[in-house]
Order: sequence, then structure tokens, then C-alpha cells
Amino acid sequence: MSIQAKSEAFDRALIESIDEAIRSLFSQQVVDAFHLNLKNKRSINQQDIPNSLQTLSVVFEKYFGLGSRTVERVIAQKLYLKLGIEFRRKEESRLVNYVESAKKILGSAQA
Amino acid sequence: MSVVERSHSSAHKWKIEYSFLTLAVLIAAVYMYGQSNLNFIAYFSYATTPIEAFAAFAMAALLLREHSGRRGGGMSRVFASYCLGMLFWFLAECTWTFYALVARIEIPYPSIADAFWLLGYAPLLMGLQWQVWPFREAFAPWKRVTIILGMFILTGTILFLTIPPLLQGNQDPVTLTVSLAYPFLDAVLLSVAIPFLLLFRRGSYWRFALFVILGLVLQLAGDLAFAQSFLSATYYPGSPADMVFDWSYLALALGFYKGVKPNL
Repeated sequence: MSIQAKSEAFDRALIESIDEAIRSLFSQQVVDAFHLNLKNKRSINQQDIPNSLQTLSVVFEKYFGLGSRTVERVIAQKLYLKLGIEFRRKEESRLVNYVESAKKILGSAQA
Repeated sequence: MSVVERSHSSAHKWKIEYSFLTLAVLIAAVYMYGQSNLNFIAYFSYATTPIEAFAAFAMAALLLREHSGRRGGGMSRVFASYCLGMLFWFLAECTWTFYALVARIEIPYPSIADAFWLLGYAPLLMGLQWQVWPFREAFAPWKRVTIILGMFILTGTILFLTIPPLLQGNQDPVTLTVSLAYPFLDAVLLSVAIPFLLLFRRGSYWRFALFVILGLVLQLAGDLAFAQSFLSATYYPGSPADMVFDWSYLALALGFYKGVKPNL
């Protein structure tokens, strides 16, 4: 698999994990509202999400308040499961940290 | 435009809140006027409370319909619990009104209506618990200790206010049990609702839940006001305690309505 194909597969897994996590914690209605708001208020389309993880954390904070940490942790858990990586919860980690760690683990495994 | 579409528009978002606030003020005005016409306010109370309870139940059912089945997720069982709780409380209000208007029992307490009210606590408690449980990690250990301490103080206060007058009066065992069950269940419900309020006070998604909790807190305030006035033999149909129940159902109906379409 080429580097680009691997990157696309990773991004797809991340987007799916976000949707699945929000659906499992809330409902499909919230998934739809979330994407609609990202697109209309932040000009972030679904395919741009993997490159906007810092913004995404801010958005989660705004939407879910104290619950945003849980949302991000569940997303990371689902992502790690899809990638076949063991998930280890870190108190201070945000989604962007979990995603970077996953990329590093995958990179070192392939090296 | 469907109910769901209308609840999504931002202009409508505020309009509906002001509409409910206006309704609450109007109800307060009617109750104020009614204190000088007790016959009128008694019938007003008997007629309006079941309607408001039905509104809360209908909105909870709409919320469940929109968040179940294919579009369901973690909130399905939460909303199903709320819906069941509201159904019990609606049946309780209908039974109370039936006793008052058909069976001509002015204050049917305790009665089958209380069985419905008490039954309603179980699904509401489960709903609150299920809603808050996935997010429990948001509470740091010191916050948990503070909440537990706060709950002990609150429970103690509620029981201190309610139990001594109960034991002083010559109540029959059924009245005593029902009268004790309310403050106890109120305290348990509050012990989940208040952490919930702390957790969800920020975050646009939870705004609907704040109204639901306001409704529950008002219900508990109504229970306490009713218990105090009933035990001191000052309760009458259409008393201010009944107005608090009306406000409670309005807040619950508004909360469930706002949850139908999430406003992020």
C-alpha cells in the first residue's frame, strides 16, 4: 500500500471513529448536527476533519462542555481498535495527542 | 415546516423559550388571582395540570421517536426512560383529577395517583444515571467528594424538614410511608440531578438537559411545599404548591422539545 493510500485509510478510520463515538454517546441526530455545524460555522468539511483536530477539540468543548474529554477519549478508543493498536488512556491527552501517538506507533511498526 | 425543522431555527429557539416564560408568568398571574376565588383556582388547577403533564409526556415521546431506531445511539435508553417517567406522572395527574372531579375526593392523598408518581421516579432516576454515567471521568476525585458531601447535607436538610412533622401527626401507616417516600426519592433524584447540572452547565448540546433538570428540581420543590402544607393542614386545591408543579411540567416540556433537534 502506498503512503498516500495508508494516509487516506487512516483519515477514513478517524472520520468513522468520530461519527461512531458521537453516535454511541449521543445519537445520529447529533452526528448530523455536528457535521452541519462544522461545515456552516467553521467551513470544515468531513474530509478536512483529520487536518483540523485542534479546532475540533475547541468545538467539542463548546458543544459538550466537560463531556468533551470523554468524547475525545471514546473517539481515540474506536480509532485504536480499528487500527489494531492497544489503547492506553492518558489523563491529559486530547484527540490530537492520541492521533499523533497512533501515527507514531504505526510508523515505527512499519519501519 | 415540521416540528423538528422549526425547533432547529435559531430565531425559533428563543421564541419558544420566551413563549414558555410568558406562559409561566400567565399561570402565576392566574394563581395570584385565584387565591381570592378558591373554587375557580381549584378547577383551574385540576384542568391545567394534566394538560401540562401530557405536554411534557408528548415532548418526551417526540424526543424518543427522533433518537431511537436507526437514528438511535447512547441516548435512546435515556430518552426512553424519560418518556416512561413522564407517562407515569401524566397518569398520576389524570388519576388525581379523576378522584377530584369524578369521585369528588377533594384531596386524594394518598391514592393510586401517588403510586404512579412514585413509579415515575424509577425511570427518571435511571435516565439521569445513564445520561451522566459515560461522562463520569469528567469529575475529578475532589469534585466527587464535594458532591457527595453536598448531597449528604441536602438529603439531611430535606429529611429534617419533612420527617419530624410527619412523625408528630397521627398519620396512618400508608400516609406515613407515602409521605416518607417522596422526600427520600426527591433526595435520591437530586443527588443525581445536581452532579448532572454541574457537568452539563457548559456545552451547547446540554441546554435542553438544563430545562429538564429545572423541571425536576421544581417538581421536588412542589413535593416539599405540598408535604409541608398537607401536614400542617393548610393545603387546598390550587394552592401555590400546585403552581410549582405547573411550572415543573412546563420546564420539562420545554427541555424535551429543545432536545428533539440538537442545537450545537
